Amino acid sequence: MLNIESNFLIFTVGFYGLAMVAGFLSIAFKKSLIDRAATWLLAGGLVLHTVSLGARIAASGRLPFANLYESMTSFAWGIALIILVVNYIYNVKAAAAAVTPIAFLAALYATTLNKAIEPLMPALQSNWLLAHVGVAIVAYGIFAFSFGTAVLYLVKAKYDAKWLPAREKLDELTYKLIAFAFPFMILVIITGAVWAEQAWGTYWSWDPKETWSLITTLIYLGYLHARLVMGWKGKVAAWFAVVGFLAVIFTYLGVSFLLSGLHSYAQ
Amino acid sequence: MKKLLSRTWDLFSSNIFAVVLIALLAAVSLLGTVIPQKEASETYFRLYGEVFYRLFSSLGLTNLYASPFFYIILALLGLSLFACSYNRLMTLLKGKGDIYRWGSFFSHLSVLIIYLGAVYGNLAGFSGYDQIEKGKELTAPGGIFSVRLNDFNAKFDAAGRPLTYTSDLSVMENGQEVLRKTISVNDPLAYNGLKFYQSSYGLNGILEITGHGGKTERLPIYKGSCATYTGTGQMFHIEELFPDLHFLHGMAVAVYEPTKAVAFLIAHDDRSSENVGWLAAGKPVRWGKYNLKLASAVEYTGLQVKRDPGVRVVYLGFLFLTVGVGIMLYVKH
Repeated sequence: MLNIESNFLIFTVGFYGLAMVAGFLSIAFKKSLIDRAATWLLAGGLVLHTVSLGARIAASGRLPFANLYESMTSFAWGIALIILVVNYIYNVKAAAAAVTPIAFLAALYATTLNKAIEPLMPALQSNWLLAHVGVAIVAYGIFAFSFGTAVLYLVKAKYDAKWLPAREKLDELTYKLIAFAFPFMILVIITGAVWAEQAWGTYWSWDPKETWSLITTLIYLGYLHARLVMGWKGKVAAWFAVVGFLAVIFTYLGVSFLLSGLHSYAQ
Repeated sequence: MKKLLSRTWDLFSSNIFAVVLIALLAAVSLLGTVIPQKEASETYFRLYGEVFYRLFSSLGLTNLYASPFFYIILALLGLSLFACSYNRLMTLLKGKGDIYRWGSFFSHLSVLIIYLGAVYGNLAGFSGYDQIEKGKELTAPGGIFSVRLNDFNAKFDAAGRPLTYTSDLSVMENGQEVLRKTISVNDPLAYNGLKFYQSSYGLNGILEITGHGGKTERLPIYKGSCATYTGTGQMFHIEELFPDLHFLHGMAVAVYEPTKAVAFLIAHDDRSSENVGWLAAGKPVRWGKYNLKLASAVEYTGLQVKRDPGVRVVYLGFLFLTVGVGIMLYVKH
């Protein structure tokens, strides 16, 4: 089973990589054929990725959220899926191309990690695991896309690149994505809190991971207030979205590697 | 005076003030993840040196989330939330509200409710840690009932990785068992407003040391503890204490079907340390001029015990928050 799982993951990385290259080419040459190739390569990669994850689930007999490898490949899968869905709804090829490297890098990173199947440690043996990680994948994946659109906005604002979507469209899409992801981020914290109450007897203990999830939420909360109440748009809002996603990455990875606490993967 | 009050109210109602407070809370929370919290003073000495340790400690940065400074930020944010909720409610009561405004009102109110639940829980509840040895009882806080540990079990896979920790507990009232439950890490025991969480486990042992004068001392030990033979001041560090032992790839692995306890001892004084080695229960070992015997060992379970009547209030806040934010961001208006 490990062979199917790891071989399909390697193919997945290849497909995501090709999708990324095709995406960049499509921005540069504006050929609809390359556009479609990028989408189909990403979709093909997602199918392979699903097989790889399915093999993992079959081999381990549980959800693939036990260690850093499983978490990383699941998040890469979620981001790839979200890119396809958002691109399908809003038809923003350039933004999809800008976010595809995140899915590619996450999947590539997963191939380098220790794939040994480990038992779920006692604290993780809970029905809350699926809800907590599930909403986190949705929230983080959509925040990743909003990061892409915000970066494109800043590029467009600086160079007035003709090959990018209009500034207003990027600004509006960044907002829509963050507004959609924010309630999921709230649910990440709530499911985590209820779970912690059940496992450790306290719904909040200022553990570094908890604190960073709060910091991330506060940044996006600031974004939403600044925009909805004070009407801030444009560059400041785009920078907010960029910083917000950097906080997401730090919450997800930085805390586990640099700070100690209950969520530490390095045991 | 009236003007001052109205100005203050305007300040707490203002959006800029709210956003500044949000930014401040984020920044200060961040600081608490950079500076390790609630560590021993030696850790801070090592990391920052004495001057900065004293500075950080006096500013409350080493226990930041319980510092007056942090509480002030939370309180100011609470007042801001109150002003926002109140203003929104007034608008709504005048009939000038759509569903979006209701969502906004409930989102802001929900955080206040979470605050109230947290404060109520802190004032009316408590949290502590207790150990129960196998077969023994722990009188629960309040003294109405006690909890007996019937059995503790830790299961490991072949590589020594933990699978489950479970404690078989009985709730006793007037010597009668009224409830029996096997708890695990995600499944605590709840009784009479108290909750008991599986938190840790281990062995409590008795080490008998006989010195050259023939005097025998019986010393309580556990993993990580240090037993001192008072006759000479010789110290023995208890590196490991297992219920039973087998070796796997050169590593010691605990098997939690205790038959015989085993301890690993290191003798040390101020200058040097020397491995004594493994000590099997009941079998005396000679080390230098000392006779060492692991006289007995009994398993204990470590329980987090708490009462938090504020949890329900906090969960109500969670519900309002989810619904309120959902309405604001998902319902078209």
